[in-house]
Order: sequence, then structure tokens, then C-alpha cells
Amino acid sequence: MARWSLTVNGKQQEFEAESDMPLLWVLRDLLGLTGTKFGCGVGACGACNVHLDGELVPSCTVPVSAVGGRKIVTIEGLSDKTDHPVQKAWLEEKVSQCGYCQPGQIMAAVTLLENNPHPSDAEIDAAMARTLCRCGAYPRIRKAIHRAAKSESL
Amino acid sequence: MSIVYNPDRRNFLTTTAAAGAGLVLAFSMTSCVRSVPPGGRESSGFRPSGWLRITSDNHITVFVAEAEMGQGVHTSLAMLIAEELEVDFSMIEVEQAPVDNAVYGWQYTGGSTSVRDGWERFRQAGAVAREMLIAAAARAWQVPVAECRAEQGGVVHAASERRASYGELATAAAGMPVPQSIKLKERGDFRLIGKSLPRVDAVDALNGSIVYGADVKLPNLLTATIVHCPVFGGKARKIGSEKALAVPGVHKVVEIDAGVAVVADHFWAAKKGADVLDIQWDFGPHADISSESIQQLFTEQADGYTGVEQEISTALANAAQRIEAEYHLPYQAHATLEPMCCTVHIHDGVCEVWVPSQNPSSAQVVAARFSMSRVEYLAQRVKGKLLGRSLESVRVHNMPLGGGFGRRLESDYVVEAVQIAKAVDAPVKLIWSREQDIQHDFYRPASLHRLTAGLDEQGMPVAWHQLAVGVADYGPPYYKIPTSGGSTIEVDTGVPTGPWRSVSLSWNAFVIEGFIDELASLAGKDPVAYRLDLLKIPRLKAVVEMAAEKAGWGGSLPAGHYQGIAAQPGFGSYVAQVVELSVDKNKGIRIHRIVCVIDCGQVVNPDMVVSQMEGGIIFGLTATVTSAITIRNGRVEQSNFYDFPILRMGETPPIDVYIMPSEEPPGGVGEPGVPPIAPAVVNALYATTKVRIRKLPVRAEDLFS
Ligand code: FES
Ligand code: FES
Repeated sequence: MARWSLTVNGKQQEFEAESDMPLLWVLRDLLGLTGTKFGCGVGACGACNVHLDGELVPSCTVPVSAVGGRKIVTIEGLSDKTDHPVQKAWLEEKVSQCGYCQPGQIMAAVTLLENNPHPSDAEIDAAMARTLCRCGAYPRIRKAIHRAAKSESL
Repeated sequence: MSIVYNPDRRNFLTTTAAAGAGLVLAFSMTSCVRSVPPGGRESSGFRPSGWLRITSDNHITVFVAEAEMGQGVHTSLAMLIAEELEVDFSMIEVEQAPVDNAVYGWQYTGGSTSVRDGWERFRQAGAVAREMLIAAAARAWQVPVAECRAEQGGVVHAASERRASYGELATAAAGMPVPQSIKLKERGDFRLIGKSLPRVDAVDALNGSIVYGADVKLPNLLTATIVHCPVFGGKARKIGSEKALAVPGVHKVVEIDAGVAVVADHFWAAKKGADVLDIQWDFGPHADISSESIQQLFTEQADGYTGVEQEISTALANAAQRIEAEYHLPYQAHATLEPMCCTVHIHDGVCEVWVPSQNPSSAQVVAARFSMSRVEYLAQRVKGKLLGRSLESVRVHNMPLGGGFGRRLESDYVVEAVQIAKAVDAPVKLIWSREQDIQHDFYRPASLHRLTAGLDEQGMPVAWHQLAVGVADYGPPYYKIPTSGGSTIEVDTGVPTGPWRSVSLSWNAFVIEGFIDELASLAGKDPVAYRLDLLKIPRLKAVVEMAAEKAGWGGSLPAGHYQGIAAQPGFGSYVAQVVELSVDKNKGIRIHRIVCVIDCGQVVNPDMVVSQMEGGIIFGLTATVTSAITIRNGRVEQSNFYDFPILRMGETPPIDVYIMPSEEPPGGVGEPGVPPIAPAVVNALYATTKVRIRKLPVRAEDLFS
């Protein structure tokens, strides 16, 4: 068991964990940040997507020892008032069904738009391909990404 | 009145809220099905139930007993109350009702029934409350009731320009007699019903604050995960748990009826422990079954079948032409994105359960049965009656569901969590791995169908028979066919099966709509025209006509594009879908557009209907083109999303949904979007390639052979 210190949503967090514990379970079970979801545990669904220094990663595939000094942002830390342009677009397009995949979808969309403010449909497909939605909210996710791309505040 | 059914959602993991002053409205389940509510609470002896509470500080809360699993039911049912109550929807708070059969009846969310069942009940609940609030105001102001009206969360008396909020009136309203008759609003007066209001949980869904079953947090909570015998029906013979117990954070290895659980500080330790369990299994009687052996069993059963009714076999024999076809469907997993999970804490004589369930009443019953201590169990056995713990001592908190689709009608994981909790002295949260979730589902059954039709000289059907093997239901055709019928042969394959979004329509629509399309092409007729000639149900006919029109059926399409249609009545609704696709030997199938028309009667929230159609179509497409569960050596071959792939965004075609205007009572919407998509796709594939696909999922080798 080792001691770790990570920056999560701008806050320094100290805790003890085995070095192979995936970031997903650190967030959920040690730090109580359950907005990041468990869907597959093998990097195949994107429910656990978080940002590491702005880069999109499925947190179930990142052992705590590999995080290093990178800053972690989870869905809880994306905005204070659920008012990130992507969240606002999601609200406008009434995207969510059961909602379980949506934190991962939103984290993926934010990264996409940061790298490519005006993505084409094909670029959206490519960027979102690893984030699954069993409820089938895809048509609205696509619309919401286009809407967010058009919003000025991004 | 002080009956409060509400544990405050924000605090409900730690407290049971105390009753507040105010109006808790109350109906018995029997009153819900009458158009006029029966006598008052006091007079009739009906036990009150609580769909609505208005507190003196003007908090208006609607309690919904149905499970929220993405269909938006917390919003649509609350809209019905708000409509009659005359409040702005923004004033309404919605909470999950606790599980209490005495108040809400058996709580079960399935069969696309919530809005259908709630249509009268929830509007009555709102209307009765409104009338009692008006009566309370009229009495306080000493004016005739007829001069008062409800408006935006209060009662007004125009002549004296007085207004009181519902909160101010709540305590007095609680003492008013329950009105003997209630007039519900006319359609033309609806303010909310028919509007696409945003869901009450819309914002929470975007910031991680919804607490799903997997997210339950309690003091001293332990986490468990389970390993089931990979072969259906097998059991652990010998468990080597040393390595698991050596994993840091692991507390205990617990053998329960369904398998072996590892209890730990957190999921990761439990999973690591589970991965190094050394279990010798007794595989039981199903170790040799495979998809092929099951298929063979089905074929033998079908071959041996001789039970076609005389009338049908005569009609088939006398027909000018007779055609036969055999259809196949595989097992399908639900694969809710949130794996199965359940938290249980047995303490102070109470069994407390936090579970995302479509069937929380069943969760309560199984928890009562399995949470008994050994002493209680023996005492009951001595008396010769195994009743289980009393239901009152089992508190079930139904948590938001990360997907349901029928999987969460089962309570297997509740039994498991209760049995694990009995072995530890702390609350414990059971979370299945994805692998266990895919391999230990209650699958949509695999089935084989033999279809036989007799045609007249014009190619119109005069006789029809469906032999359905492996399932309990065949689909009576909704086409005008003078002599038709079907039979079923249920087969115990050893593979557990259960309802899967749209239940029997998930196979019967494929079979009926595929075969009718075959008949149309044999007759040399257009598939839409042929259906319209034969359809018996006017509302189904109308959606077929509208879908054809919206899809530009028969018009000019881009080169290489072809269309297929399918329609299906079910769950009180009528749906037709047109698929436009093209096929390229190298690139495969490309679906360019799907048009869907639904007549679901009076619509409560149109956007949620559209959303359910989109979701249903995508769910159905996964089973049509990408995934199946197959069996080898008694076990499921797939284990996670890489080998049970669900549709991705880039594979999702544009979907245009149209709602047929209707004043009929509401129909269901959660399931009816699923059934037509598979046959619409294979019918379009036939139009494109002249290859008839009768087996799902569609495989390149079937298409290009
Ligand atoms: S849980 Fe991490 S990708 Fe699925
Ligand atoms: S909204 Fe349910 S999985 Fe995406």
C-alpha cells in the first residue's frame, strides 16, 4: 500500500492505495466521486471517461501509479453550475435517457471540441466511437455536439 | 394528516423523513381504475396512498412508484398531476416512492404500462387535490366554491381579489371531504399534456449527481463482487480462497447459492480477489449444450410436431399455392450500461435494500425470504411455515436505474446481496463485473419459427400458421387471413431466459413482418400496397400509410438505395418503420435513413416519445446487425462489449420520428420502437439483394453467399 497525492477537480487529494488500483475505483470508492461510472472495466465503453491534463482517458485503464502529476478533471469538476457549454447543449437537446453513460459522453465531447471546435459528423463519430450508450441517445448526442460547437462561449 | 411516504431523496440514505404538516393525498389502488374517486379517506376505509404531498411551506411533491430507467416516467406522470392541479411544472418536485405494496400495490415497471396505467390515476390525484384546496379556500373566505378557481399553484376568488397559495391552504384542505365526483379537464384545456417539457432530472444527469444503484454510499460500506459457475446450473464443489484472502483489502470469501462472492473494502480489491479464486466447479447437467445443440433440439421438436389444427391444415392443403419458411433468432443480452448491483444492510431487526429495480416489490419479497437469521429460519421451519421476515421489516429504496430493458425485473442479484450481507456485519454493496453481467443474464430466448401460408390465385393469403419453438408465444397475424393460427413448443434448454425490451414482439414482429414481405414479393406486389390490402387495424394501416409517405416510398431514391417496411401493433400503440439502405460487398450494409411513425394515442410528452423511438430502434438495430449471445460448452461465449458490441454513434443512422395525432387513450412507448426495425432491415436487404434473411443477426455470409 502506498500513499498518493493527486489533483482532482483542482483539489489536492491524499489517500492510500495499491499501485495497480485503477483511477476509476480511486475516484469512486476512495474519493467518493461517483459521477464517473463503471460500465466494463476494460476500456471498452467510456462510462469512466475523465480528463488527465485535458486528455480523454477511460479511467478504468489507468492505474493510480500512472497518473503522476497530471491534473484530473471528472464530470463533477467540469463546471460549477452545470453550465459548461457542452452541458448546456446537452440540456437543450434533451439528450439523456437513463443518464448512466452521460458523464462519459460529456467528457468525451468536451475533449473533442477543445481539439476541434467545429467537427464534422465523421469527426464526431470517430471521437465518440469508444463511448457507448445502451439507451441509444446517439442522435441527440450528435446534435448537442453540433449545438455546442456553434455556441460562442466555447 | 401525517402520513408521509417520502424519505427525502437527498437524505434518504441516512434518514427517514418525519411527517410534515400539510396535505398528503390519498387513493387506494382500486380507486385509481375508476373514473370517479370513491368516498373519502375517513368514510370508506380505503387505505390512503401517496402520490402527492403539499406542505404548508408550499412544497409540492409528486411520488412516483414507477422506476425511472431513462423512459422519463418521473416527468410524464408528474405532468399528469400538475395538469389537473393547476401548478407550473417548475413548482413540482418528484421523488421515488418507497416500496410499499399496501399503498402503491405491487410495484413493477414493465410492459410499457406506466403512462397507460397512470393516465387516469395521476390526473385524478391532481384533480381531487385541486378541488379540496378550492373547497378549503371557499370555506376560509366564506364564499361559494363555484366562485373560486385554481390557478398557478393557488386558489383565487376574483370578486374579492383574494388569493391563497396551496401551501397556505394545505392544512385546511387535508380536513376537507374527498369530492364524490371529479371532472377531469377537456383536451382543449390542457396546458402541460402534449408539451415537450424537460425532464425533472435533466440537469442532474449532466453533472454526475444522480445516485444510481452502483453509487450508493453508506458508512462502513463494504463492496462485494460475485463469480457464478460459468456453466448454467453448475455449483462450486471446492473453493480455494487463500489467494483471494491474501489480496489487500479483501475481507471475506462467501459461498452463496448462486456462486462465490468476495467481500472487500472496495470494488477493485473484490474484483482482484474474485479473479484469483480457485474454484472447482460441478458443472451440472448443461455442460455440453451449445447454440448448435439447442438449434438441433429446436429442429427435432419442430420436425416432430403434428398438432396443426385441422381447420388450418385443410385450408393450407386446399390453397392454390403453399409456401414455407423457417426463421431463427438468437439469445440476446440486456447489457444495461450499469451492471447488476444491489446494496443490503441487515441491522436492528431491519433488512434495508438499495436496488435499482424494475420490480422492487419482488426485491422486497425475496429480501424478506432470504434475510432471515438461522434462528428465525429454524423457528419458522419448526412451525412448518417458511414465511420469511415480515415485509414491514424490509425497507427497499428503489434507486435510479442505469438501464433496465427487462433485466431488472428479475431479483437474482437481490437474493445474492442479501445472502452476502448475512455473512458480514456491515452494509455491503454487490456489483457484478461486466463479464458476469453478460454471461449470467436472463436472455431473450433463442427461437425457431416455421411459417406456412396458403395463397389464392392472386397471391393473397388464405391460410397461415406459425410454429414457434423455444418460446411461449407465437404472434397472431393482424392481417386479414381467413384461417390462421399458431402453436408453440417450449423447450427447456438450460439457458435462463426472461423479458427483453418488447418481449415476444422482439421475435414475432421479425417473423410475421418478414414472412408477409415474402408473400408480397411472391405475389409480385408492392410490400406497402400488399400490407394495406390486408391490414385489419385502421390505426396500424394509418401509420403504414404515413411512414410510406414520409419516407417517399416508391419515389426515386439515390442509385443503389432500397427500402423495406415493417409494422407492428403492441403495448397499446401502433408503429411502422421504413429503412432505406444500400449494400456494398466490401463495405457491408449502410443504412441511410430510418423513418418511424408511431400512434401512441394521446401524447403526454412528445419529445420523450421521440426519444423512446430513437432508443428502441437503436436497441433493436444492435440485435439486428451487430450482436448475439451464443453458447458453447454450457457457457456464454461473449463476455464484454468487445465481443457483445452494442451500436456505436457512427453506426447509428439518421432516424426521423413522426407522431400520429390521436385522441385515443395513451399507448406505451418504451418498447414499441424495437420490434419493427429488424424486419424492416431484412425486408430492405431483400429489396436490395433479393436475398431473404431469415436469421438474426444479419451476417455477411448469409447476404453474400
Ligand atoms: S468502465 Fe472504463 S471504459 Fe468501460
Ligand atoms: S443514456 Fe442510458 S446508457 Fe446512455
